[in-house]
Amino acid sequence: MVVPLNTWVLISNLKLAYTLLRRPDGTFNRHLAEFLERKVPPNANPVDGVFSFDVIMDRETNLLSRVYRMADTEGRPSVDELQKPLSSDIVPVIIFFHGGSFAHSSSNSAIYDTLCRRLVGICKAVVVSVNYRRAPENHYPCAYDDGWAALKWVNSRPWLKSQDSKAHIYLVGDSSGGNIVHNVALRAVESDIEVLGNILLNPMFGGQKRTESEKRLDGKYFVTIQDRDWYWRAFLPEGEDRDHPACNPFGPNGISLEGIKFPKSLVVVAGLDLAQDWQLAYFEGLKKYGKEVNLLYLERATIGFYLLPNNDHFYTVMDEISNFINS
Amino acid sequence: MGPYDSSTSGSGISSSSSSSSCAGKSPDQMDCLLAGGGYRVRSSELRRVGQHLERLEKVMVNAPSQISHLGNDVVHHNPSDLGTWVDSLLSDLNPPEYSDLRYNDFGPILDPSAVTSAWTEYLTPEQQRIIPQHLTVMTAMEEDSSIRLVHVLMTCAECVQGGEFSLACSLIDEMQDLLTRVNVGCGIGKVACYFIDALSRRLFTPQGVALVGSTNENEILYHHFYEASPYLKFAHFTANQAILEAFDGHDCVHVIDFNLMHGLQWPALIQALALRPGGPPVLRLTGIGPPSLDGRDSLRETGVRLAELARSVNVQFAFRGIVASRLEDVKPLMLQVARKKLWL
Repeated sequence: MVVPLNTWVLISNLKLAYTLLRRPDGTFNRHLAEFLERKVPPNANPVDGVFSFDVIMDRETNLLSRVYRMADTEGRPSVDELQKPLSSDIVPVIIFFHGGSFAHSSSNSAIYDTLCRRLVGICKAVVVSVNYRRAPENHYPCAYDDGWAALKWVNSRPWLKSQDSKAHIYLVGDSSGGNIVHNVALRAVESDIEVLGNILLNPMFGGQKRTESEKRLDGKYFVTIQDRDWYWRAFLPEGEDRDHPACNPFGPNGISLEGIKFPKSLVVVAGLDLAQDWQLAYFEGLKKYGKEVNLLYLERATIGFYLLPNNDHFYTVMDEISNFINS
Repeated sequence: MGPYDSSTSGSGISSSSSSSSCAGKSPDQMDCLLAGGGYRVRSSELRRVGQHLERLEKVMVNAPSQISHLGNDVVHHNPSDLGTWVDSLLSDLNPPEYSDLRYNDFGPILDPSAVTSAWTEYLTPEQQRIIPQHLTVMTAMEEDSSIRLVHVLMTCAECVQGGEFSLACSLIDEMQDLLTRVNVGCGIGKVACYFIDALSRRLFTPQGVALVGSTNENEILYHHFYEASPYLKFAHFTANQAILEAFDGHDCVHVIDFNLMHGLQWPALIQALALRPGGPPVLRLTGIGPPSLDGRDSLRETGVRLAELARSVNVQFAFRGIVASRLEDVKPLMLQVARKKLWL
């Protein structure tokens, strides 16, 4: 086995549960999904120096997010202290988009709550984890719309501005969240909202053709081509194929980034992820348009390696993320 | 457990170490990394759970039709208890798949003693059906206690309201006892817990101690409560419906709110009037409220907010605030009720 036993148990369990939920006709057993999902409430009492609370960003879509902040005192902040202005000079604000192939997980999923708490400590940042609308109930572009709404919300909070009166925003996401990061950054380009950087962990991209890595790794490390196809069909508009730009941003229907001011990016690719050819194509695409991008390729990593701190890849990535944000 | 927990073993290449969970903990303890993901699995059980997952995976690959059965017709027990959840799925598969387990070799990584323990821990499908499982099904005792809890809670609240404090105190004691017999993680038990806590604070906080936080904090809390709970909103909704009906056909209307507070009832009314067929009436709102404790003119602030809203939806609006510590201090003259207007 390539992964530690507890990681294997965690991801196999998730994979098993997810298989129970996807129906061949494209529908999804949402009730069972919500029941099986391990969730945690927000906690205004600091745990390891981090406290969290939920906010509603948009009433019309019921867009919820969980905010994670560093506690500056031992005790529990009172209600009006939750949104206290940032105390240090520059505090990065990470807008986090959880993974789940557009269909699974939420901001209050235990695995993502844990990850976001870690990010606060590692990056000395405020983390805002967006509970975007999921497929198949909500197709493209709902998730992007929610991401965009979150970006606007964060940018307009007085209490999230650093001493220079600006919000220092980074977009971070894994799997489908990574895909959302790219697309929200694209939308921001045409606005006056500045995104300082994108971090994409095992981002979810694809395309019509079957790439070498997909064929080689199909079914080998938790993921199958079949399930990837299912999730794309669940997310993309009806009748569209995987060369839709949401799935394949630098494919035949891709958008040119020529002359566009795009944030610097960090793309993390796991060598045992069957989608790596698409992720590497994304990296190459950004480079081709002259955008600043770093690639971190972890040869022996599988999907989800960043969920548990029991492997070297985890620490490598966390260091890389910290340097990217604090440079 | 901080972000870099140095007690975890670093390298994750080989699987031979089953203590890739936090080092130094006994195998009987829960794997703390999985616990962070919401799953309770003993370190000693990890391998067994892994094998069962592998077994289930094989079924998924070889007999995918079984999956829809597992997704639809199976009762799922506490998913946090991963071992039991996986076992119950396995036991729900067709018997041939299940009995396979007793005879197959579990693979090279397993030692014989582990096989034995796995075998003895297994219940046959028949046995599993007879033994009551640790479900979220309520026992009869729990149900009785829950019902009693509700009754005692209501009685206690009435006592507190009526000033019968010693009776209320003994009821609190009774409720604390009842709480031990119900599930306080969800349902009636959880709700009762919060109410009992609140009533206790009412009863046991010494007089003169400020029970409440700053005005600002209270305002925020009130807003959150208004947003979260349907009761206040619904009460306002029904009241506004009655007002709308009464205002039907009138061009000039006046509402007197005897306890304005944050004026949360009125935005919805203003918006409804804006959308009225035939156009909105001219709306006058008189808001009565106590003097502010912190020097802010909160009545005026509320009025300004409502005026802004009215302006944004093109409803002609005028606001008047009347500060009074007691309702008796408000004289009809102050309300300036005009003859031609309809006032409510």
